[in-house]
This record gives sequence, structure tokens and C-alpha cells, in this order.
Amino acid sequence: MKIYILRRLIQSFFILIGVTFITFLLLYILPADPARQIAGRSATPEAVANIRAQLGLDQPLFVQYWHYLINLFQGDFGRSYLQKTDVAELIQSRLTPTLILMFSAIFIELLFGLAAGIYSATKRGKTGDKSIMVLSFIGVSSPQFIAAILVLYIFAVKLHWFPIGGYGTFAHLVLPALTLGILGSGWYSRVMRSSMIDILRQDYIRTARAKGARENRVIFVHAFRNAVLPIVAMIGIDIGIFMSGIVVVESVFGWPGIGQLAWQAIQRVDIPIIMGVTLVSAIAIVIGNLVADLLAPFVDPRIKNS
Amino acid sequence: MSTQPLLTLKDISKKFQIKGSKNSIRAVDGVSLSINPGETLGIVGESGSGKSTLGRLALRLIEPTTGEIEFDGKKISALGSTELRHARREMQMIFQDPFASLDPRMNVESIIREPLDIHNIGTKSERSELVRKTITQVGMTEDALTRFPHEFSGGQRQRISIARAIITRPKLIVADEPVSALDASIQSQILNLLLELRRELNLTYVFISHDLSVIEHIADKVAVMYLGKIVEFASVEEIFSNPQHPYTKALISAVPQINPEHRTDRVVLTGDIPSPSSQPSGCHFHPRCPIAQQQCTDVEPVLRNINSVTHQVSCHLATGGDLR
Repeated sequence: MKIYILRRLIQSFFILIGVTFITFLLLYILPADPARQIAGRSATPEAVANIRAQLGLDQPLFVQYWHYLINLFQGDFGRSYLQKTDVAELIQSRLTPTLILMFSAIFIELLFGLAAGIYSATKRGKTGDKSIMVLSFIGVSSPQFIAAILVLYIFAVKLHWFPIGGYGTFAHLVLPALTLGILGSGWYSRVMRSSMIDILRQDYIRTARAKGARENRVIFVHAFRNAVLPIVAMIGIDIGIFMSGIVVVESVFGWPGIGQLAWQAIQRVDIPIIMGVTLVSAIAIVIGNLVADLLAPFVDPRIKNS
Repeated sequence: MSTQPLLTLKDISKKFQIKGSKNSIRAVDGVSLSINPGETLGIVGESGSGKSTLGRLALRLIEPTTGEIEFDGKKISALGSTELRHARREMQMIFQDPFASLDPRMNVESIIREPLDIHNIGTKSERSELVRKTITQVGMTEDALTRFPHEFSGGQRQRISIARAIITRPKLIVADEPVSALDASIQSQILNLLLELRRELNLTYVFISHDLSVIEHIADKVAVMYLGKIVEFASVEEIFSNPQHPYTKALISAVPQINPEHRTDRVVLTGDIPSPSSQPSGCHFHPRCPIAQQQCTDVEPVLRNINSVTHQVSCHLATGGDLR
């Protein structure tokens, strides 16, 4: 087990290095010029060149990347071009709101997704099942920015139930968490439904009924515990999808997390921040998957052997 | 025949509706049976003959379309869902595939103990005492209890299934092909265990199998099924010494004989069992029957007594003697 974790951590290390390189490359290819952004529109070409030289942006790609890596290994994420602050500090101050939003959204995803999936599976082919599947399909296919704006318009602007945006109280959390959670629950309900349908066909479910178990016991003790396995793996993957969605949703709701930070940095080509946020997101995805894999044997005793 | 039958099926039928079609499959078609306490009834037939469906109907694990089930004086077919769950204590089932019939998330102790928990039998310590006693009764050791089903072989898993089935001290056990997923050497061990338990616990079995040599070993009476109907019903001795239905004869001739002197001419059936959704006219067996005549395609035979009241056959041409 220890060797397995160590091997996974070494793998993860190389994945993260790869992520930094690809992001760096993409930002290098990008036609936008960070020096021009910093200097402002009216700056002379000399001033722009000066800033470029100062930031080392006139160096070849690999030299720039090498410098970035060296600094990174020393724990230095670089400094924001525009805000002149340490990227590590910036991300740190933004991490808590993002984590709060993430866990709330995942909680809602699981709550709605699993409940809808179980219900659908037990009412397979009936009206309830069909309506839930239509709803979940809408959830899966809705673009987050449209859903977020719609939710904001209806519940904050029109109904005044919740604040329009910001951070601080529970009321601020509700809309962004619901937007992410309900859209995300579409996937969970579909996966849970097919997993439950598959499990409900198994012989041991018939065995449980033959034992005289109540339907609730059959569904929640025997079927649910077996059907939840793909969900555990899915949460790991979901964190990745989540990290991309959070950029949009945080920006729409003015939630001061790393998604909003990333959005602002992308607009201003603030390369150190973009690099930092990408790296932190990649770390979250890697950890999420590792934890999901480590949890799997606890969910399914059959996995322990292999 | 003064003893009251433990289980009586009266004119049981089960239709499965085919999705998107007006046709339905008659998996079990007007079957009547009764089993006395302590007896073992063997049900044989090819796959698709409806024998597993009949076994499940007997315990009302699936709902019959028509017909009545009576068990131990109670009308099982009329019970509400709560009463039915309580009645399950007395009638248990062992399934064919020991790899699929045990919940992989539960350890062996929870699997065996669950019926006691469900039916609220005994105190906590009595339950675990009974679990330990039962696991040794099926020939396993107590250290198996903390392990999970996937750690066991097919034979051991079937022993766990049997332990689970007998722990509530049921009167009736329906065993649906309990040994057909196992190796031949393990098959006899499990069969002997079932025989031993029948004696010890005074059990009544409905034993479903496609394997006549298994049936010969364990059953007292045999029902031969073809396309959802019983085509022959007799004591195990009668069935093997004086089979009347051509289908039974074909099945018996297909049983491998070790002694070449005992080998008889094999009655080879051509074709497959027809689809139950489009049943042949007249006798359902006539398209494959080696001795079919005109009346067989026109008139459907009914189950009738032949030789004795305990030997029933549904064939126009059966005479009681050997008509081969």
C-alpha cells in the first residue's frame, strides 16, 4: 500500500511538471503581449521592450521555462505582473472560498444526484424516471455561464431571495453552490441510475428479497452500497471538471476564489497567476483522483486483493 | 396419503409481456403440483422450459399471472407484502450462481446473520451463536465469518448460501440449479450436504436441475417440464425405469452411462426448444418428437394418470408400457 502511494505520488509529480510545461507553452504561443498590458496603450515601444526585458520575456521559451521551474522548486510561484504581489499569497488567500464552494457544490451534487439516480432506477421506465432523466440531461448539457446568469437573474435580481454576488454569509454561498451542484448532479444521477439498475438485476438482490428483507433494506443496504462504487471514482474526476466550471461561476457571482482570480489574470495576461492557478487546480485533480483510488478498497472489499 | 401437502401449486401460470409487442411469453403455463413434507421434488427440463420461473413462483419471488400457491396451510398467493415477508422465514431459496448470489459488500457473518436480523430472531448473542453453529453445520470453519464472499471458491460460496438459507430453520427450500455452476467433484459434496441437512433439519426441497443424474441422486418425485408445462410426473424410480413421455425418454437417454452394457440407444432430439412466445399447435413437443402422429399436431394432450395415480403423463401415445 505504501509503495503504491509512493508510486502514485511520483507519477503525479511528473504529471504536474507536464501540466506546467503545456500551460507555459500555450501562454508563450498566445499572441497577447503581457508587457504591452503592463505598460498600457500609450506606452512607447522602448518602454514596452524595457518591461519585456525586465520580466525576462525576451528570452527563448526554454530559458524562461527553466527559470520558472527553478523558482517553483524553491517554492516561489513568482510575482503577479500587475498586482506586484506574491502569487502564492494571492492563491492562498483565495483558496478558502474556493474550497467552501467546492465542498458545498459536491455535497449538493451527491445529494441531488444520488437521490435522483436511486429514485429513477427504482421507478425505471415510469413517468418519474423519464422526467428526472430529461432534467438531468438539461443539467448535463447546460453551459455553466448561461445557467449561472439565469439563476442570478431569477433568484437575486427578480426575486431578491439572495444577494446578487459577493462573499461572507451563507446566503452568498447558496446561488453559486446550487448552480454548480445542480448542473453537476445531472451526471451523478445518470451514473447512479445505470449503476443501480445494473446492481438491482444481480442475484444477490434477489437473495436479499428471498431472505424477506424490506424493499428499503434491499435498496439502501444491498443495492446502494454496491452501486456507489463508480460514484467514488467519479468524484475524483469531477474535481477536474469542477475546476474549469469554477472560473465561470465564481466570476458571475463575484465569489473571491481562485476561479475569479484566474479569470482576472487571463484577461490581463498575468502569466505567473495563470501558471499558479493552473498548477493548484492540477494538484487538486491529482489529489482528488488519488484519494478516490485509495478509498475504493474501503468501498469495495474485492479491490483489496489486486 | 393422509398427510397434508407442504406446498401446493394450483394451476399456476406466468406470462411475461414482451416490450413493444402484443405477444407475451408463457413461461409457466397452468402447472399444478403438490409436495409432501420431507419430500424432495425434482424439476427437470431444458433451459427455457420454465423450471426456474416455477421455482420462483413457488416462493412468490415473482408474481404469478394466475393460480394459487398454498404453503403449510397458508394461501401464499393471497398474502400482503408484510405477511409475505414474514412467511419467507419458512421458505428459502438457494440460487444457481454462487458467485452472483452473495452481496460482495457484506462479510460472511453479515450474510448469514441477515435473515435473523430481518425476522428479528433471538438476541444478539443468540444470533451470533446460531451463525457460528450454522457455518460449521455446512462444513466450514468459524474463521470464514470475517471474510468476504470473493475470497471463497464456488463450492464454499454455495455452502455459505446454504447456511444463509437454513439459518431461519425453514420448512421448504427451493434450490435452483444449486450445483450446476460447480465442478463435478464439488457437486457431489454439495448434494450430500443437502441430503444430510434434509435429514437433520427435516427439510422439504424443490430441486431444480437440467441434470437428470443429479435429480436421480436427490429427488423422491420428479416433474419433467417442457415449454412451461409439466409433461410427466412420477416417482424417481418410475421416471427412470419406465419413462412414458418421449421427451423424458430423450432426456434419460442423454445421461452418460459409465457401464457400456447399460447404454441404450440415444434418442436424439433435433432442433431447439421452440420460443415460448410462439408455441406449436397441439402437443407442444410434436415438432421435435420422434414418434409424433397426426393427432399430436392437432390436439393438445392433457396430463393424465397412467399405470398408477402417482404417474402422470401428457402424451396421446403413452400406453404405460414401453412404446419405443
